[in-house]
Amino acid sequence: MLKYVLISSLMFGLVLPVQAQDNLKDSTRIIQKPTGIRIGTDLIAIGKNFANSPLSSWEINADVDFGRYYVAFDYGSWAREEVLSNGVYKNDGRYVRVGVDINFLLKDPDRNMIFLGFRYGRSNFNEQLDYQSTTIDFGDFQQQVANPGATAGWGELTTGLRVKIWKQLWMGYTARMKIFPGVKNNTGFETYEIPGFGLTYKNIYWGFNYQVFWRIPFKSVP
Amino acid sequence: MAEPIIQNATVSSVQLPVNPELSEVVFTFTFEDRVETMHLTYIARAEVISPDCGVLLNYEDLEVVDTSFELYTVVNNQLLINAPVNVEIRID
Repeated sequence: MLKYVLISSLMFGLVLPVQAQDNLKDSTRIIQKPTGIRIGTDLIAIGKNFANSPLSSWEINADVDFGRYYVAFDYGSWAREEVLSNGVYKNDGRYVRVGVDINFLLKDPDRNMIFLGFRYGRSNFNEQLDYQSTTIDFGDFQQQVANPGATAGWGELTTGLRVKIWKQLWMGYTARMKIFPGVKNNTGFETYEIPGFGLTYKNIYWGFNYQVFWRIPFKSVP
Repeated sequence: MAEPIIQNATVSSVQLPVNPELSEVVFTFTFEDRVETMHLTYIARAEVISPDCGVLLNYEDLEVVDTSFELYTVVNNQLLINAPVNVEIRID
């Protein structure tokens, strides 16, 4: 389902610039002064806290419009405790994402959005691994290893919707293709999961946020 | 003194154990007419494969830090089960 939404959004993004070529002086296409900030949260991240999930998380999202361009900022918390067949893995971290979304719904009076964008993500986290193992020559042993103060960075391609529901209340989703994770300061053991990104060994990771926003206007929209 | 791993044998290769809780080991090779030693270092690095598969240990960065053997080569510095040769020693 997510794949089809992404493909349709990508196609939409390809078609719109062609239609707009006959209107090059369209003021909706230029960078303008911001008119408001939207602040919201990810309902899926919060919902995982109530489900029987090993993940505990929350995320705050914000964006500011500069015409059709929206500067987006996300801040989140992510902690996991996963029971393994021979141990326990724990991580705890904070992450930020910064980027730009480009709105392709240019003439909607409510400023609803269908967008494509990109983000740079950065995470600071601690992770710990307690495990038991058995060797033929040295018998059973237990070990605790950790990566305190690990950092990671990655890129994201995003697409999604923002729809005005009522007055300043907005809802929407963001689908993310997370790419090129890189980890530093993980000398204790191989990083298993990057808070904000996901499993490290997957070089491409998909993410999905279902978000609710409240918009605070800077001035009245013309 | 540790227990001998192989005794009274004529071999062309030997498989030697490394302790996952340590990062170095010294092997002593006792021949008919002399004794040689090899001091090795390595890193045992844990990796979570999945919740069901659990933790796997990778032995990496094998190095010969000291040895009495005159001719030796580290062929592969990653220790693997069923791996080919890691260290090749030439004996007269």
